[in-house]
Amino acid sequence: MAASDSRSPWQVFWREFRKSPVALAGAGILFLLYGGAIFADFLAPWPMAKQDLDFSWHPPTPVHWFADGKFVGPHVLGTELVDLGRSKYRTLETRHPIRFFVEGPDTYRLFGIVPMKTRLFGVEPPGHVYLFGSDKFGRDIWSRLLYGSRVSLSIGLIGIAISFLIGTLVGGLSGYLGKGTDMVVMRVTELIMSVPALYLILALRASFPSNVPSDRMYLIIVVILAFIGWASLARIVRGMVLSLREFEYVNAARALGAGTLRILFRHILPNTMSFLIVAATIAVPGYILGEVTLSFLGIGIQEPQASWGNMLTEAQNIRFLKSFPWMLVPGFFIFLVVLAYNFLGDGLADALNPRKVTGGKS
Amino acid sequence: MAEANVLEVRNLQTHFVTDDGTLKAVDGVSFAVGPGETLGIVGESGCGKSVTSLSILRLIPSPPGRIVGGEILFKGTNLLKLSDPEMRKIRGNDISMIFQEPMTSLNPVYTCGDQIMEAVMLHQKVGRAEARTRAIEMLRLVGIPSPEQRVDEYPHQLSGGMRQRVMIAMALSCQPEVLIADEPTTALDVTIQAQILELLNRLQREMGMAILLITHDLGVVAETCDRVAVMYAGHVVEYAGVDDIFARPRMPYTVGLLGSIPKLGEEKERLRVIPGNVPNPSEFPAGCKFHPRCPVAIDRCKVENPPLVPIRPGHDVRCWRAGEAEAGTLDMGRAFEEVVS
Repeated sequence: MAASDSRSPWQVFWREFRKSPVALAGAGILFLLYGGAIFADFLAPWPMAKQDLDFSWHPPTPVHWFADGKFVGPHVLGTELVDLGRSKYRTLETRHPIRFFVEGPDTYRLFGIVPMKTRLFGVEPPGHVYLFGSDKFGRDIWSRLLYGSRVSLSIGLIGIAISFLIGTLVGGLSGYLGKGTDMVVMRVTELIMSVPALYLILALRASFPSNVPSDRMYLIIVVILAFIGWASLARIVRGMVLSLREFEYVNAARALGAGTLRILFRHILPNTMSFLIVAATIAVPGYILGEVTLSFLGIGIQEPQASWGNMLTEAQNIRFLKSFPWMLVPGFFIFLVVLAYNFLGDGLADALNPRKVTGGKS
Repeated sequence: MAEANVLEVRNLQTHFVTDDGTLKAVDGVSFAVGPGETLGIVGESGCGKSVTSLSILRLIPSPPGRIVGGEILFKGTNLLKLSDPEMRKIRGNDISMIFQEPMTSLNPVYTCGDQIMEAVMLHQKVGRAEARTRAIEMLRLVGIPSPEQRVDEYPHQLSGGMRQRVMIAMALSCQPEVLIADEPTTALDVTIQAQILELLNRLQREMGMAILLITHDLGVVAETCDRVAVMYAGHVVEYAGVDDIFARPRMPYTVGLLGSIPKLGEEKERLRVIPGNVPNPSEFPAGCKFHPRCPVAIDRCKVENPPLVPIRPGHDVRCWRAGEAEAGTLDMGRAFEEVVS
């Protein structure tokens, strides 16, 4: 009768999660990406909208470490525009060293509070460092990627949080109350899910004014995506509540005098959480892609605000894409984040599997 | 008389409305329990004993279930007339219930302590700290070793017997006056069964509550009950003190049940059984519902359902031929043996 399994649920979870290298990789990638978003000001050498029209469509600048076979530290070579029409650059012999912890061009606020000017790296003028090249206005794509990730990555989290809330609430009530409530709610979710998502997004987008400030636009996008996303979560929750409410402990709670809402929120929904966390994790990329889609089509986040979607807008043009393939870098990051979320979701699904969580004890 | 009974069920009728028609799962059941008394409700699976117990707490899933008639008097108050919030105050506080399956009766996401504390805090105005002290006290009371540690453990860390003890602790945490135990030992192995029954007996002596013990195990009944209601097909067919039931059963069904218990030291190829099965509630026969399986059935049994009448003070029987058995002119036990052989 002695307890052989005295680990807390978190320890059990971590023990299982650690076993999957793919899930750990996913978590690691997401950790780096979200870290990049939080510390964008510090990691980016330039502010988001800093233009340099003399250097539009500049290719990525390789970082050199050696000069004439001798180690001199990281530096870039100077470049000079040779063909304005086709944006061709010629590499010069001049060397511009890269400095770390340099004073940036402007003051920013770390975490929105601490005023700072220090940036991770910068190049001594008149050199330019474009790790991933520059765009039409000569803006550093690396810097814009970091600033854009703030929009693109956070929309996924906020969107899923709202959907999660609505979906759990509506799905839970629907499954637990049953009868008419269930009937109505399920028909509404079916209605939402039966319209192709892109048309629904566009139709909803059309119901908002087209020229709004970017912070309002951000909210609008979140609302649109959450409006579409809650339906599938609600159906998952509803299905699980239908089975969980037949469990004896629900009856036991009722026999102890617990009311309807108490049983739903304290006894049934917490039991759906392990599955819901997985479902939510796997659903996040949908929200990120939703923002990307809207911005890519030019009806989401507007210039000069950066987002991964609107950075790809220029890659719509096949001629640009051929001449300046580095315009696709945001696409690679989108691919990376979607993949990472799916890896993480798979890992969570394995680690939160109740058959494993019980520690094999019947 | 009515004052002495803490719980009295009168002519309870619980029906289920299905596509196949109305199923009379409980059809006119009456019994009463006094403080500190244990009433056993015995019967085969499907005879309506669990529905009866759930009806008392009004936990019948509705639809399809509905209590269509009768009274359930708790200290003189008819529970069927209470509003839902009033009923919730009764549940867990005045009348508690423990269930058959200790494996699934505890919520896997909370510690044992949390679940006992919830029961306490639902009904009594106490803070978390005090509720926790109470939870530890309750765990000690139900005989769980080192309750200060166990209080923070999750159900999956406990064995089946331990979980049933935690369930009992939950059910008794508000000192209810009636405890309904729905086959509390069925899922446990025999040594643990004995421990749990002993625990219930001890707690009953200490706390003075009435226990309604639902079981199909006559051994459990003999050991723990004061009075017994034998149920068959939604009816109480025999209702008597435990000694009368075992020494002088007067309903053929009870006789058959007792006859099917193997006796120690008896050489037997096969166990004695009552031929046939409990009929499906949608196909209850006319007349006495036991007559198709009854070895002493007469023509009257096929058309007219006998009433539950006293054959002696404190011993009620639902059988047309109970009088003959009482007078000694009919041996029901032999009749069963002849049918089987």
